[in-house]
Amino acid sequence: MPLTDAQVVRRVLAGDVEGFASLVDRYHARCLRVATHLLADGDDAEDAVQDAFVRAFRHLASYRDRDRFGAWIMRIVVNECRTHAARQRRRLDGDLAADSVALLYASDAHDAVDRRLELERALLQLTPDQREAVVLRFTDDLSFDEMSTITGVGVSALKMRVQRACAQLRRLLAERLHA
Amino acid sequence: MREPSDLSVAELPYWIADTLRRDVVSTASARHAIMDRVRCERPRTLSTPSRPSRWPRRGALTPVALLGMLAALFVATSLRDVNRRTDLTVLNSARLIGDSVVPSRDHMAVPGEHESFLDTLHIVEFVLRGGAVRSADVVGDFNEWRRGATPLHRDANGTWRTRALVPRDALRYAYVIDDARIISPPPLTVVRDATRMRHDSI
Repeated sequence: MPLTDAQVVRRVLAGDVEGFASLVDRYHARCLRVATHLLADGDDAEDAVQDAFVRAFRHLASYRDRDRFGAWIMRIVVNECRTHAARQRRRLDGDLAADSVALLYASDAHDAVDRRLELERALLQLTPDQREAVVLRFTDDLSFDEMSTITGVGVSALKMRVQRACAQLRRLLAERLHA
Repeated sequence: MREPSDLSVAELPYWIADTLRRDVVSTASARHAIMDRVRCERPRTLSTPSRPSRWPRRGALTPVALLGMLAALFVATSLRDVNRRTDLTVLNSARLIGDSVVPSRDHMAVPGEHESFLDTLHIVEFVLRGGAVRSADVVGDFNEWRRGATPLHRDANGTWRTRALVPRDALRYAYVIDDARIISPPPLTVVRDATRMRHDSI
């Protein structure tokens, strides 16, 4: 029977450093998915996720809500993405590098890659707050309460951001939707 | 997980939501890189005692260090205030000891005539108490405000005092402390004490 997150955390704090690998295995893909859509760059996303896990390990003792490690690590990932986005604002403000997105979705068919590229470009047209809200909402399938816990933003504000982000995405992608 | 009531807030076409939910490709070494870095780190409260960092975050102080700095600042401020009060609190007084009859100064330069003109001068004791005084002298009308002409001497009790002959009309004077600070008391005024004539104050 696999250990719960809380049990793994206790073992890691007791000195079993390798036990942390199981937490990485459980949450790495989810964190990378969110970070990739937030940063729109595969390399930056991997760096942000790596920094987030190291930071989580360093501050593991301060983690109190041990039954919800996923929300805790996601909060750290979002904070790391904010930091990386601020450092590399020029990338978010500029055009998305097509090669970067194509590399991320290398296993998809050409049409799917093209579609994702359009979506990523549309996401970059959103404000950072709106992008963060819509990515958490749909990428990680979170409730607004969970999003509020992760981002520190109120539920009402998040609903408004998601609503505006969806309207903006629909407008930006209207051409493909009607195709 | 999303609750049904949230569906009315905002929705996206299926293909967009589906695209966002699909996993992205990560490099094979990503998880190994994380664990490699983790092995170089240590959670702060491992049972193995680790050397605690004095500065957990750059620019941040631990509560203990902050309290220490505040205490040191408080002590330094208190000491400075005490020193300042000690330095500034110098009590001064001028006391009439008695009178002395001397040849009149106006006629001293005329040979043969000074014996017939006498003047009565006050014998005044100038006193300073308290403070971190290293040197002191008194200047005034009686010594033509010459620095060092009438130095005060420190006695065994730490009181600085000197005596000088002061003409009756030479009422203004001042103390010079450590060649820097000047204390200017009010001009001398003779207040005679009927019961203690020798302790009349000026």
